[in-house]
Amino acid sequence: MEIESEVLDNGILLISLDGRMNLKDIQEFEQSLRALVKGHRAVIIDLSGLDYLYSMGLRSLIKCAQMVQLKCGRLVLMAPSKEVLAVLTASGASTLMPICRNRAEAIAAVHS
Amino acid sequence: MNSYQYEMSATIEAMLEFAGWAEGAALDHADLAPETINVMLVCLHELVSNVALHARRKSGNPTVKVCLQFAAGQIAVLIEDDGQPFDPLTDTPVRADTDLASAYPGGRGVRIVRQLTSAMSYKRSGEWNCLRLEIAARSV
Repeated sequence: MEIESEVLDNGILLISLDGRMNLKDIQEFEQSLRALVKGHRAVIIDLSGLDYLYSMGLRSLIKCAQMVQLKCGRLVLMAPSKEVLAVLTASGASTLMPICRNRAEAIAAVHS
Repeated sequence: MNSYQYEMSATIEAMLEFAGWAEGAALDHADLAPETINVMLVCLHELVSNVALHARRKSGNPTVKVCLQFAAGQIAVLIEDDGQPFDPLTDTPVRADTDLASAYPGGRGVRIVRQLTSAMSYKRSGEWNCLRLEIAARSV
């Protein structure tokens, strides 16, 4: 699992997840994600490179969204594959975090 | 009907090899739609990792046996483990999500499986938890 991040011109933190989550790396994944998100109030997580999403990874995403919300900010998910979207929906997480199709939608959603 | 069987010690370390085996079994069926393969792999991961993370025995790690049966229009999955009795259908209540602030981040694995499968049943047979799933299989 690769995690890349950049701060866009408008101050939004864009995090891109690439590859496959596995149980062995999940603690490290969550720690990395939390460290990146800390202090940010506008966060987009690009899921387009994610092969599979499991509940342990989902837990990390929800925790990060709660961290951002505590700062009166917003975390949105962007461009999940059809397969990853099915898991987001089945888990109920799609009612907790906005899910956007592309970057333009995500930028609008993170500021709304 | 094509049948595949796998036996493992339920450890986090063994999950990677198991995931590779399951993906290989799915990819033997070239007509399976990617979303069907995704459902099967996600369900297997959630349920077997539950055993690896939470099941307990007096000595050693539980053993997990998995059987996959591929038939036209359906995949049947049987997961057996000799950990402590655990019925995911009654032991894992679904927490309602009202808002993000109060949402419980974890404990969503069984909920995902229940939503993605067409049938799920549990029985305790001797020292074994026996869980059977049916997944509607779509073709490409």
